[in-house]
Amino acid sequence: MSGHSRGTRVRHALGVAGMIIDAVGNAVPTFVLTCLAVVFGYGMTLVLAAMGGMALAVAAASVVAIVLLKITNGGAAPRAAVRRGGPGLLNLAAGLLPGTAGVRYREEWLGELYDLRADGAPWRSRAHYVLGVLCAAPRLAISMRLHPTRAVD
Amino acid sequence: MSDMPRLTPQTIAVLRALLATPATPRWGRDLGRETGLKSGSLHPILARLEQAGLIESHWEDPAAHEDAGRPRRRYYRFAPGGAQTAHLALADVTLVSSAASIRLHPQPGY
Repeated sequence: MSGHSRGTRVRHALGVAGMIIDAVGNAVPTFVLTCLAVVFGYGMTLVLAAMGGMALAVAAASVVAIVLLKITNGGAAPRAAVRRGGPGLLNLAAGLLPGTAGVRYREEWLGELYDLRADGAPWRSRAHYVLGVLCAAPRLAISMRLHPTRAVD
Repeated sequence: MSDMPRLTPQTIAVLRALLATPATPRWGRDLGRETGLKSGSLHPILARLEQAGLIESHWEDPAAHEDAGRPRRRYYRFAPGGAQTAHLALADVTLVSSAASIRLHPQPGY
């Protein structure tokens, strides 16, 4: 090194400094992007977990409601429970939906439940229908809140 | 009209059922029977198609359901231009799936 001139040492030092600046310049955006990805991914995981939790809670509530209705209706129950409790559970599901969509889907689901009964569907089919609607309601609610529905009345 | 929703097999089944009689409004349970979808799956699909502007919905004429003594039904039909968009989307899906089936043809001996 002692043989190198002062100018050469300065050039080397400037080269090293440039490399360091380049490295920092590349590392900072990468670090920021990684942080954003981690935060966003964490947020999405929380949202998905919340959605799953809500669906499970509604499904569990519906099962508990049917069992309670069965008990309170004195044993004859599943049929009576679905007949009396079905509309209430559909109201619960419709309550998750935003604004007028709740009113609309409540009426639509109650109409379908009525048709199932009119077609002579057994109480199990009707209970299955109600549970299916309950489980789908949170997903539908999120979808409708994210994107408003257009309808022609 | 906004973006076409993701064409899952269930969505394709609903679109095909609607395309079978594009001029006739269909109601939820009717579509469910034809496609074999439960109401819990069907209504989110119909909502997505409605959000995309592909279909539109309206309540049944009061005279019809009052005469029948039942609750009114919500009918779904294609929005203007929706049937054509659905045709094109389904044609694309058919093309892609047939191309994929050609590429992914199983080879004997492995």
